[in-house]
Amino acid sequence: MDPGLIAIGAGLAIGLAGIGTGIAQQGAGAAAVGATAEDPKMFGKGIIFMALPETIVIFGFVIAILLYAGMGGFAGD
Amino acid sequence: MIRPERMARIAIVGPRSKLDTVIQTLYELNLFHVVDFSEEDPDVKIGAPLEKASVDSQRLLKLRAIIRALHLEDFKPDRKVPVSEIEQRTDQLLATLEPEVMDKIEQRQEISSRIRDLQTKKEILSLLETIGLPLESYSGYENISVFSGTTQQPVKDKILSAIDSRDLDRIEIIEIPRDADFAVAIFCKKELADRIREILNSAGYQEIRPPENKGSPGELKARYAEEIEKLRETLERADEGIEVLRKRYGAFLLAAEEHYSIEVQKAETPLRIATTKHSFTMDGWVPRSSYDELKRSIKAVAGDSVSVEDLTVSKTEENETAPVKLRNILPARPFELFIELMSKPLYREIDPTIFVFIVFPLFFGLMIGDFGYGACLMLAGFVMYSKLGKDSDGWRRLGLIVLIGGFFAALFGLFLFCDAFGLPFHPVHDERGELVLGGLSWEAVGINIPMEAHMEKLVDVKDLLAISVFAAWVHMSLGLGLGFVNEFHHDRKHATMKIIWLVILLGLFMQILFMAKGSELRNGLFLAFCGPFQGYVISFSGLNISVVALALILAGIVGFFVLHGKSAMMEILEILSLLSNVISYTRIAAIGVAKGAMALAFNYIVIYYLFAGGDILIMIAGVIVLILLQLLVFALGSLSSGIQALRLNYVEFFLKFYNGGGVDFEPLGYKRRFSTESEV
Repeated sequence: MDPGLIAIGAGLAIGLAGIGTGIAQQGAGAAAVGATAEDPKMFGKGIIFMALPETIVIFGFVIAILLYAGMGGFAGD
Repeated sequence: MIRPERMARIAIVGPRSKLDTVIQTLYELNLFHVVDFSEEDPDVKIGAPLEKASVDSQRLLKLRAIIRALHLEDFKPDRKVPVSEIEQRTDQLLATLEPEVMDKIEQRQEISSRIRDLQTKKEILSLLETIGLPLESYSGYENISVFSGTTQQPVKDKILSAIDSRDLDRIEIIEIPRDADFAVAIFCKKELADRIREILNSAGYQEIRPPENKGSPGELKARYAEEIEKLRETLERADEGIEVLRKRYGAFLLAAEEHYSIEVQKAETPLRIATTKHSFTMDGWVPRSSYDELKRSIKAVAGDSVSVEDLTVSKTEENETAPVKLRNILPARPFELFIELMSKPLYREIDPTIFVFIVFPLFFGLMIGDFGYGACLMLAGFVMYSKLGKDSDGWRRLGLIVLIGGFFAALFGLFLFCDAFGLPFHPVHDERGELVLGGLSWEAVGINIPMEAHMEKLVDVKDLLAISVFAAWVHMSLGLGLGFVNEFHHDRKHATMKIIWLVILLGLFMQILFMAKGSELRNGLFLAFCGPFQGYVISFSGLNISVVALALILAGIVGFFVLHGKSAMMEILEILSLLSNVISYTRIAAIGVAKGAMALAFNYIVIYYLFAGGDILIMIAGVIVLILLQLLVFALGSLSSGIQALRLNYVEFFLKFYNGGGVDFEPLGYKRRFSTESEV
């Protein structure tokens, strides 16, 4: 396949995953800040809920890297 | 070390006469966690505060009033005041200082309210000055109404067109536009007043009542201004006086407040214990290792009349009710901060501090992986520890964490990645042998560091991913193992589940290694874990599936059915979330690469575009831009690396074994910041 198309695919993978994470975090983040303001002990749990959606963008990253490698981006293999 | 401090439930019983001494001793020992007494009956009641409580509370009330009045809350005292001096001087000082301070404060308030008052008057006068009439002309009429003030919109034309032409000579309107509004003075016959008020109100009229004086408003205004100036000087002198008091008594007042707070707290301790007419019983927890010390100390001050008994409660009761005191080796202690941010472990649980202490700096260091940033982080950590940490335990511990994390970042930067401030030591070649970014490196700018990189962030991304997945396997296996230990005495079924998950995790890990073969490092990992089974592979539409990995995962699924029967389906779906946990660790590679690429890109832009021309002005600008961009990478990189390393601990690791929610161990005791028990 055209390496250009693969590169676009890799870009889309991480870009869209980033948007997804952003959307998921806006709600969790606002709620976590609110909860922490009310009770500082909620900080740890807040971080967890806040950080959960970040995995989505990591998926995007892994797919992007695999696509990039498949395209021959790192060559060698 | 692995579990919180073991506790013993004890009772201290003695005559009421010894209560004061016992409380005093317990506060000094800082070892006894009181269990509040609540079940009263006719013979056993909650104790009454010690006698000195009321006197001390009164002192405290006065001290706090003075401290508030002098704004001593943020005062930094230059010395610690000995307790003996506090007890000797407080009463005498309060007797003289309280009236003096209150007097000074009252005076000050009076002056400033007088200034405010004059300023309002001055503003009124400047309006009247614009209108230009002498003050006596606003009052003293029988048949004429006077309006004076400001309006938002012009009103003169409106009024003139609204009234009868016959009335035109019965009205006089002065309207002068100002910056944001209009100064207005209207004199009219009483009959017209209502109509005019209506028009004025619709134009946003605000009445201003002229003072009952004579002469020109300008002169009076100047007089007021002079008076305000004088009052300001007096105010300054008053402030100086207050400042002198702050300086002279600040340290003492803060120390006295602290001392009497402690005394009141001690005196009110009986409210938490059980007493009868002649005796008292204190119920609570003490660290088992300190039980003998507590017993000896009480015996030494109170003699044989007070007895300390070990209540030897059942294991279950101990597990459910004992307070939690973390106990770790010295270097790991700062990391207790992360556990406290989450929540203290239950008494029966494993305290994960030591694992966070080992894992967090490694993850953090791998993500930063840069000698320059690592060294800066160590410096930042040291500053946090020594400067900000002076008054705050949290900053002190965070400083140490950053220091340790920075050390590992520098270590990885120096020996593994061989780069500093985003710039590699030597030109980087990609796997085709071509120079990356034109060979940008420390060597290219003339600094030769004799270290060879074992891994390039921008080239060996897949190796970094493999390291991340390996870290995932080690870390989560540890988590599941701890989960097994936690649950073993609690719930055997849950404990077995942890073993099943361990098997499935190993299966997933082996399958990923099968798919990741390629470089030296990945092949090495593969041979270490899958070497003996590398021949057992089935191919499924181009994908090589390891038979052993598949067998492990299937064995796990069978385990689910044996344990859960029909509801095993839910657990099978959970395998996907375990896989997503594994992938989640690749953030270690992701952040390392992203941060490295960002720093290299900034360096490239500045060095190749701004420095290349040789224009000295552009080069100076280049240096400034480079420093700003480096700061940006440093701040973003450290923050996200810290949060992500923490998250991997909190989410992927803790959720495998941690419950949390233990009761804090809060022994009777105190900390002195401003006062001291030793003589200075």
